[in-house]
Amino acid sequence: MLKENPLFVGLGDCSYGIKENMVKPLDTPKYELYDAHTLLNQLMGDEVLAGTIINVFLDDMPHQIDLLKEFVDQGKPEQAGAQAHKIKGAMANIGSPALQKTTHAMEKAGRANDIATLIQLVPTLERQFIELRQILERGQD
Amino acid sequence: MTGDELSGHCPMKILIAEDDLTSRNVLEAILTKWKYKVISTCDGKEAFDALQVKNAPQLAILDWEMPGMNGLDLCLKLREQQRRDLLYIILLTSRGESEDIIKGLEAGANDYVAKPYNHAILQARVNAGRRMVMLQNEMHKREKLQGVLEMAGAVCHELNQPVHCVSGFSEILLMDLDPNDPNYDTVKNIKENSDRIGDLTRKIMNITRYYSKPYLKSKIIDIDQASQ
Repeated sequence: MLKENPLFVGLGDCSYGIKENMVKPLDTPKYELYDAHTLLNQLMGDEVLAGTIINVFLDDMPHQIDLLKEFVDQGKPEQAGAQAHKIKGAMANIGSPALQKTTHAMEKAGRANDIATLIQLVPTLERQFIELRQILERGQD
Repeated sequence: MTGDELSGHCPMKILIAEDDLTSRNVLEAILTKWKYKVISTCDGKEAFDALQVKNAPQLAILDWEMPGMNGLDLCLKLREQQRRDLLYIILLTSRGESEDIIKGLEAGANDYVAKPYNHAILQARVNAGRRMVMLQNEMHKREKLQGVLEMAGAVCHELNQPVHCVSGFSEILLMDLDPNDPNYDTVKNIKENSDRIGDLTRKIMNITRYYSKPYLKSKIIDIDQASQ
């Protein structure tokens, strides 16, 4: 049953994010941070495969976000926009509407050479990713 | 319908080019579930190289946005090659504007799938591509067979004349020879075998269809069936 699998908490208990093991309450509504249906639907219900993909995602994504921050720090909006687009693809697959929205805004800012917006959005991206990671890691305990 | 079901035997190869690891993993997982043999690449250059090898995949799913050579440039470069075998390209893109779709198709993509994609739509599109590849391969096979048959027909036509000659002269010799003559059986043998060659060449010239029969560990053309 999906609801019994901790990896797919998004399908069930919405108060999950504020339970005892959490570091702090989520700033972003949980349903916006993670929709467990998305990945599971794409993989035709294969929970094991979904778990594997999430693990690889959690390993890889911090490097991708670091790279995006580097481009922003170096004042390279075009590269930052392209990197945001790449992260957006990953978020669409994993099922994080909030991070998809943030990276989409960063992609647009990058295309518009708007470095100020990019700088402004970096903390949001970082915070949302930490929150998403908490949900996903808790789900895999 | 899976890759296996459509081909009836070994899984069809499919190349994917996607720079994002998560997206690539998901795509690879889906296609593997559908029994395709997936060749994964992470940029345009790697994808181009993977399509240059012998027995390279004939189906490719290319992400539009990739660093270096993007999916569109890759399409253009691949189409410049004038490949002998069909390469069916599906472009994955989050660009949904009509002009982008036109641009992608004009660059040489056969189809496109909008991102984020629905796996059922992707499967239908991939299967359509697969059918095109199989149809094209079947046509190539037939053209090749037709060429071989035409060549065989021409060779048989050239052979017929001397064979006929040998048969005719051996028949004349047999009429002049006493059946007790020590050469009689030899000439008779020449006549019978040249007639056999004549039959064979006539059958080969009449081949219109491909029929095979088991031969050792392989198969050979069944001339009797094929020439009926």
